[in-house]
Amino acid sequence: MRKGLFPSLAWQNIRKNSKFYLPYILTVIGTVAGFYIVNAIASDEGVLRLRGAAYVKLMMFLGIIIIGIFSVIFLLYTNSFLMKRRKKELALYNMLGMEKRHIAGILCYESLYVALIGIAGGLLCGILLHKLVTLALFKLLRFDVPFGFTISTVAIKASVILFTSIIVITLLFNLVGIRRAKPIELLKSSSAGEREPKSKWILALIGVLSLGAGYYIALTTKSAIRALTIYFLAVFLVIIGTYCLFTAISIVVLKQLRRNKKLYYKTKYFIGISGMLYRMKRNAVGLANICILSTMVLVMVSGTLSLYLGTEDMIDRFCPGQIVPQITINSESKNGFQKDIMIEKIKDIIEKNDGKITQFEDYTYLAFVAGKGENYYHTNIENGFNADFAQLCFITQEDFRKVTGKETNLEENEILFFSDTMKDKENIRIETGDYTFDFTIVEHLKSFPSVGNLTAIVDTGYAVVKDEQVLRALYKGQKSAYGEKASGLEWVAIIDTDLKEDDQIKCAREIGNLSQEDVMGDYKGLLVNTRAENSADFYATSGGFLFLGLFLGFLFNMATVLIIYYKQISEGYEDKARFEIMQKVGLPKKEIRCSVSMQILIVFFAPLAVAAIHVAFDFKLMVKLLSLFYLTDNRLTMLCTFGTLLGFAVIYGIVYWLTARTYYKIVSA
Amino acid sequence: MMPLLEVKNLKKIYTTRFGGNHVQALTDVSFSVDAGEYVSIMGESGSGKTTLLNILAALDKPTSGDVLLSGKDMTKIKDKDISAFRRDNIGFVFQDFNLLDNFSIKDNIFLPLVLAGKNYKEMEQRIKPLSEKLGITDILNKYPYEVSGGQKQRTAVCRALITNPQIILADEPTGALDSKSTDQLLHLFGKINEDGQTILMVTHSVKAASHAKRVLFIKDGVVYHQIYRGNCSYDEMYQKISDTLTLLTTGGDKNA
Repeated sequence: MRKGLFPSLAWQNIRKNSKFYLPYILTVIGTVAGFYIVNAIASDEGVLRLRGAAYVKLMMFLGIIIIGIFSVIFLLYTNSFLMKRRKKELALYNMLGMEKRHIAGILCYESLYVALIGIAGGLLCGILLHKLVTLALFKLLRFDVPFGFTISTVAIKASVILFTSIIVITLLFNLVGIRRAKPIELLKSSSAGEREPKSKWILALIGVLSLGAGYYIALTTKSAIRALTIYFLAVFLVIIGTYCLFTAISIVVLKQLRRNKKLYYKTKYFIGISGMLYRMKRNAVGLANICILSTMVLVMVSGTLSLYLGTEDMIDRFCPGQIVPQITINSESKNGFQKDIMIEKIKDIIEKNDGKITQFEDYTYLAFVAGKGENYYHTNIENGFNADFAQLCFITQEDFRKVTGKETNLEENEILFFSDTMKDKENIRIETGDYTFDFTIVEHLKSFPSVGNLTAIVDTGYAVVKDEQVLRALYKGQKSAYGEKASGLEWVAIIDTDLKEDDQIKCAREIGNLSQEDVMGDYKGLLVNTRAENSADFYATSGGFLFLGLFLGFLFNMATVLIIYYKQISEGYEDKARFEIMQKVGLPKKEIRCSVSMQILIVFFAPLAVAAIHVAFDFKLMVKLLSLFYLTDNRLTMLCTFGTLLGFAVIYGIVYWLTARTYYKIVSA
Repeated sequence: MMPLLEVKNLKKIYTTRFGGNHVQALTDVSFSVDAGEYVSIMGESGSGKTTLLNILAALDKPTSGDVLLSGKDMTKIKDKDISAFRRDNIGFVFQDFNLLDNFSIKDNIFLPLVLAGKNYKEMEQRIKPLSEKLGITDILNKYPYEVSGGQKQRTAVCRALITNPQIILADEPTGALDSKSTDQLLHLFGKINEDGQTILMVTHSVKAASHAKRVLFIKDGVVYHQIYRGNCSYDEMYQKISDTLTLLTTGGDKNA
């Protein structure tokens, strides 16, 4: 065979099949660009010198891995679609006398072209967009924007290696497929009789069960730690359930509908139900993929968005003032902690730096871990935390008033209580070593302000007690149980000044240095948080998350779009013949169009609807997970979720509308 | 008595997309079919058979001329009513069956009734005698991919008959069948016609045409000739048609 024939034939094939090839090449370009950009950011030394860069680097590393895996799966998937469509054409070559090795030659050249165009184009796009993406990222991270235009050779190398290997793998798949295929089978493959889908009851049952289990987990998980460990199980169950839902449950339901003769033999349902059966059989897996990708996009974007938008709130909870010193006090010491002297010292330091205190609040609390019983807490915890455990936090009513402004008048054995898990109890018993406390709960509080650096990771019971006497008694109790490992009383001050950020940090350092002096008496540690430093870290984390969420969301979205596009095209080719028959039998053109577009609408919006349901169930779990990051503003999370859903639905709708036009063009051609 | 189908001076000119070339498919076709008749239309490829059938089926509009079914002018029916008219009055049998493969045999037959909004009980009542007559009762719950070509075509005939149409239009109904199935189908058509069903069949199979009571020959867009069976047997009719065709292709060709 003539030498130049392969390349030119391959090029012609790509051009003639541009309806399939163009989206494929665009996907390669998109994924290469995405991979390059994340790689380039991760390896940019300028970025790494900035404050909070460690988080950013971690995020980008995560991104590289996810995008890498995603690219492999996704390109293999689109390639398989492409080859299915082209089977007939390749079989024809075979029939016309081309040997299989000649076809393999053509395929090699085609892959070469795809690789050249895709990788080169992707790198070009990546390099051009890199700067823009960096600007956006820095804006999110609140970093100062650097100047200059860089090209990362490391990233180029990584991209070229990864994507060349992916394309080689797809080529190998195709070659094996060609070797195995017989030309007659290839020619017939698309005209094979349409077998009626069977009802797969067992699969449907598995689907219902795993969806139910996944949802149940999502709804019933109480603590954030538990949510973190069980999240992937829930996700796994829901993914299985989704596949079963689309492949088996849908068909079982449709078949049951068909059994109802009165309903089925109505014009509207007759064509609709049988059409849906036919469509679901062919598209079930694709639709499940769309559904899962959409859910991932929704969860990722809404989660990271609420995290980012809630950053201010998170910082507020974590560090409620500009400068927040916290001291752990050993109350048994004779040379006890002298609060008043400490406050004086702090005030001196701020005044020395020409600052004025605009707000000063302080409070003392005690927090320790305890085992949890029916309506009591105990300190008999075995090694490790095998038992059901909780965190207990106590504060005096005077300090509680200072922080919240709420006036209370508690007796010795009375408390105000706040806990997610003990909402209906009237009495609480606390057994701590040698001491036992019986408290009557005067009031269950609806919320509780953040206390020190306690997190909501574990189930926490907050109690307001009468005075420092009770606090100290509790301290002694847990000390007798835990000994060396016991918690101390924590003293926290919240200070706001009129100083600039840099001066605030300077003051905080000086306050921290007080630990070197002897005046404070016994203490275990002095920790000084500043809002300025914390906010940089928080924004670096949440901004990095948001960036990753948006970036991956964009990529997954691209995948969804492509699957929808390919599905629409294949539906179009299959519906064309059916369209014509129905018309001949006497169904008005308009009605056919109506019914078919209705079916397609259902087929394409079902994944979106199911994704929305998944997200709704996931919401509680997500809120729990976000609480790990000190984010507790549920309303904000709700808004972000709705907003993301809305935005996604709009994009989805536009894509549907655009691809539906291609569909109608094919059908009415 | 008024004829059931009356075709008057039918003319159809196809124009290429940019209006350059005109192709005259039908020049001037006139004929009529009485109720209860069994008519075949014969002609070579390109003689205008398919165009004629498409116009009779209201799938295409003539350039000029009229088609009257029971006195109603089909060419004047509005687009939105045409499908319903076709469904209620005309039954179709196609060469390639045109069954929908996602429906069972039964549902394929029910399709026009469902479209007409009939209730399920009536459908069941109608399908019973018909399916027995056509010998497809056993396969009603199967799917098109599971049955033979002959069975598919009988399903298509059943689908055409179930609406009690005024006329059956058949387009090369034996074209995709083997000889045994062809015999069965033609026998069936004869039986249906004896029961009073009007049939108009377009074909270029001499054998198929020989079963009709009257054969029309189309050439170059006009009805060229017609022969009646009268009391001839199928074989005699077959001979007659063959002779006519020979005459048409040799003597009839003015430029030969």
